[in-house]
Amino acid sequence: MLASPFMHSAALASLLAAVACGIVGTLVVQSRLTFLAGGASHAAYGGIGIAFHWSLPVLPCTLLFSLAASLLMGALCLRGECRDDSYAGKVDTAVGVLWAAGMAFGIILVECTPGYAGELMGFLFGSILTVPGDDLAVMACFDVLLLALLGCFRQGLWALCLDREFARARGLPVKALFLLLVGMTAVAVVMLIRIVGLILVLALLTIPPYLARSFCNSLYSTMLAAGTLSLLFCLAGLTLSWHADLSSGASIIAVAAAAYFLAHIPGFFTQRMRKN
Amino acid sequence: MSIEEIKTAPLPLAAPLASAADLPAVVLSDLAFSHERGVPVLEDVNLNVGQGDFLALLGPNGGGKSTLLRLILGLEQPCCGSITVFGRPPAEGSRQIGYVPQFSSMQRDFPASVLDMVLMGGASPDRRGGSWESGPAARERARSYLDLLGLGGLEKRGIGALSGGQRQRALVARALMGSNQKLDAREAPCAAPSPFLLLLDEPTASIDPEGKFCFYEFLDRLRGHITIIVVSHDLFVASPFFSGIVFVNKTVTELEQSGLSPENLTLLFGKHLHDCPIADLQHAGNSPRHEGCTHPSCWPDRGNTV
Repeated sequence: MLASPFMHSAALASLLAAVACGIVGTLVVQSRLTFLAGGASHAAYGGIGIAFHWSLPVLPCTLLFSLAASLLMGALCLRGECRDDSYAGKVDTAVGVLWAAGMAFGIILVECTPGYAGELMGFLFGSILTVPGDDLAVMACFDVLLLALLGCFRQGLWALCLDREFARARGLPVKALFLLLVGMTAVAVVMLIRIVGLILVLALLTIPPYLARSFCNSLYSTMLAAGTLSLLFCLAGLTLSWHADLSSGASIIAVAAAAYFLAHIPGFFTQRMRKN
Repeated sequence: MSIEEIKTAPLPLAAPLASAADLPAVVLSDLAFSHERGVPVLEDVNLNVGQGDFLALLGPNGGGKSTLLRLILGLEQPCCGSITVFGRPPAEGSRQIGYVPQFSSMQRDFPASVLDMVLMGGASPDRRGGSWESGPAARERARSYLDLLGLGGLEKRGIGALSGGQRQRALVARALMGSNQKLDAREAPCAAPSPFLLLLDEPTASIDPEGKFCFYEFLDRLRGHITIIVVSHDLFVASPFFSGIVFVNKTVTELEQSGLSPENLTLLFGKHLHDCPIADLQHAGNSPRHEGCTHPSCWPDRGNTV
């Protein structure tokens, strides 16, 4: 298994995805943006459809489409915060609609394109074993971009995630920071689509940070631990898929989900014991 | 450090303000505010808050208390009228205002230590989206505020591990970090007092009654050193601490400390016609006190009031 060149590139892809997952996943979980991240990942299929229909490069096309869709959702969320509760409900629905509409748009474009569309299954459920070398280079660039953005806007993002109301009161540009975070989410989501597919991306984005923060005491150590966990999940999932001949994306998520449930078992029993 | 030591320790703030000051802390004149739909929230608001005051804003839910705070903070813009904070528009005065938002605004499961959270209070906007000092000097200042508020030794604890009362005091320490001048008298003795306004939005909504009293006791240590405005429902717990009470219900009415007359209670809670503790107080002993009220309209906010 270790000798296979597929595995080498898969391991490298896992490492690159883990960086994005650690940084953005932690920020997404802490600022309660999971729903928006889900919207960004599913709407990204519209970009895949455009790339497929007009024979454009897939990764940039997906990124641009996902970025546009998620920034639109982010802008709607910001408007929702300024208004009353009834408007916030409308925003919630609008994000859901964009989530589905982007995907439907992609499916229709693919169906309108003559030829075999089998490879598109890779975007739905991930194809870590067949990530081309070019895509690995692009993923590495994305990681550098995410690290640079985090380094530059470190404290602003920290404040945004901890207490948005207080950050606003201190005069921090909360709206710009929020849209920056949404943009970073779109970048990470597009990277992770390669690994686990757009349907499963939410799990890989949220489970590692969720588990990591239970034993970390700072945002940055949580990011590091979440990245490590996501790398471990990817490698364990790959091993599972290799030996059991299962789909790689689903195996990775299965491992992550199993870890999530296992982590809850001690808490479940202590709660039961307390009640008794 | 024991509680007694904390209470008797010299205050690490500048000396109390010499006079009711040359410049009032907050001046609101002919202020009005309405939502986008045009529903008026505040009308004809005139208020003058002197430096060193410890003011309570009371009033029914939806009466405009929080909106008034947000206007002073510059988070909302008035339809008409003017606001000045230490003689300047609110947006320019953000370095002179410390803010303790409602309990719900902070993510309690955020992985950060108490000290890190307090340091964030010094945040100011810049090209990198905002930053704050986290060097030894800032840490020392943050520690002095934590000591002042009875949280010495808890600086490394995670913010999720604090009790409700401890968390609210930590938020006050964070707000104090917002001052652009050192409030620490040990380093700058006899310096001119720094005009600083502390705004608290229902700080004790989630604390048990004993903790509420304790919270105000700690807050009282700041009285005279800075100006404090607190939105509160804890009228009976906190009234000994306030230097003034302002009723906010679409407009504002200033009252003296001893302002808990039946008329004022009617102003605050509306006319209660049913058998309930508020109605009893409004009738000022003319009717016997009942064991709670069963009519829902009497208790629009059972969790917070009284």
